[in-house]
Amino acid sequence: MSTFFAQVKFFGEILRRTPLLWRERREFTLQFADVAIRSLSTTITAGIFTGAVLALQFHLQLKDFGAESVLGGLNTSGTIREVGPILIAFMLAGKVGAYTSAELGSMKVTDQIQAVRCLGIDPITFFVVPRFFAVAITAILLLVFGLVISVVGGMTAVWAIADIHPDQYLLTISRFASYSSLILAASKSMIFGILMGLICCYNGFQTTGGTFGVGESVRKTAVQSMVAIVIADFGITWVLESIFRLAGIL
Amino acid sequence: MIILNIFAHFLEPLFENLKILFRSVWVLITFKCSLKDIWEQCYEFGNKTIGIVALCVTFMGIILITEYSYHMKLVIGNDSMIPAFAMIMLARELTPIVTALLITSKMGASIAAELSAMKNSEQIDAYRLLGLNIVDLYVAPRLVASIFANVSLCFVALAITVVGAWGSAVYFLNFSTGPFFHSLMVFLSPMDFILMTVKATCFAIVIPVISAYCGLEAKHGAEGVGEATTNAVVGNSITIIILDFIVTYGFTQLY
Repeated sequence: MSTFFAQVKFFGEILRRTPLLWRERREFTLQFADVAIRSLSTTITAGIFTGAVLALQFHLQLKDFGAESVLGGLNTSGTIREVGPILIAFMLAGKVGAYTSAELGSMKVTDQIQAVRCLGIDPITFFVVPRFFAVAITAILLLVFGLVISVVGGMTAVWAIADIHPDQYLLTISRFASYSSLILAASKSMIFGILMGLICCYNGFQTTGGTFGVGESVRKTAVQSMVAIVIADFGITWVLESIFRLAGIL
Repeated sequence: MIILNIFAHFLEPLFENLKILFRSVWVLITFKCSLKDIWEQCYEFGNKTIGIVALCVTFMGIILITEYSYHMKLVIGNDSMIPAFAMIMLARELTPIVTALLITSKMGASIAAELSAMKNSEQIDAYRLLGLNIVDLYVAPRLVASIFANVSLCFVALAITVVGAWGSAVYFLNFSTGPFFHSLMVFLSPMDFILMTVKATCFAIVIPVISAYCGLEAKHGAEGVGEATTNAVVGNSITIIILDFIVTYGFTQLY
């Protein structure tokens, strides 16, 4: 629990220094490109297989009722609303978050952060702020991209295995995937991205204890990100569904 | 030639992983592995991860029920069968994969971190000088513990998701307890439990092997440790989701 409060405080520190991001735009661009290119293959694999596995499962459930014609819509809606963001975010937490946390951690244990502080430069502005925004923005974009890819994965799997033509699959999507689902998916992606950025920067920056400490902080990042993602997922679904229900657009 | 090189690039890690796996299986078959180690690792894998597994999986159960109610209202306009559908989804798919991903991030990452730190401080070379293989000492007990812990955690997690789902059905959807548990078991068959066990076992075999491989291949220095741990988490997650697809596809032929 104390970790949680420390992270909230750390988030405040990052937000306070947000205007200084412009000064570090070069570092931000480098980090952004690095993280995005590095994680693209992971996102594509995760997206395709998430869509494909869920398509298989939904097909199995619907087959007994002869309702295979709605498979496309149901699978797309189920994937982008709920299971897709969680599974793809788990993968990205391992890839994007853990990588940045390892990088910051190894800087910390080799005293590079102390060296920068000795030069009179604020290490949070210099190291953490560009990385936080790079990770958060990449994670948001990659999550949305992964969800789009998951539709392709589901479509291909169903075409290959259940012999449902892609045209039929795509036609039913608009019947089920409403704007509220898209809003839900987009807000989940956004919050998961911010959470990943915060957790990886915090754990990387707090690394202590030499080489083994770096591994420990990567492990902590992965575990904390997953727990935070699942809890945030519940919170977002609950809040947004109540709002939709009140607004009457469910 | 280029194609051969690309193949070699992908196949080499696979062969190394299989070597670690067969070596540890051989050690286990010939009983060269100490029971005390296995017992300790079971504690590490099982008891120490049950907390986060329980936490995450409760929320999964709650969310899944609300999501299913949304879709069921859309498709058939009737929500009396929500628990039945949600239960087979949980048993066949979500419980094994979420449990395995959580164990990956907790135990897989710590195996990779520990082994790469040992490699950095040349402890693995020291073991080799003494004529001991690190796979025998380190990976084999973790393999048994991982399988045992993952399968049992899956069943525990499934029970916990039922509680979460029940709470959310009663609170959000105005279900009564009786009808909820009545419709819970409608579609569930022994086959689903077999599928869950097979999935959990496959994932559990993957986790220590790939983590150990990443740890043993680590580069020098703190960056090497960080990279090895990251690679372990990513490699495990991707392998788990691909295996999940393969196992699910295999079982769809049986249903």
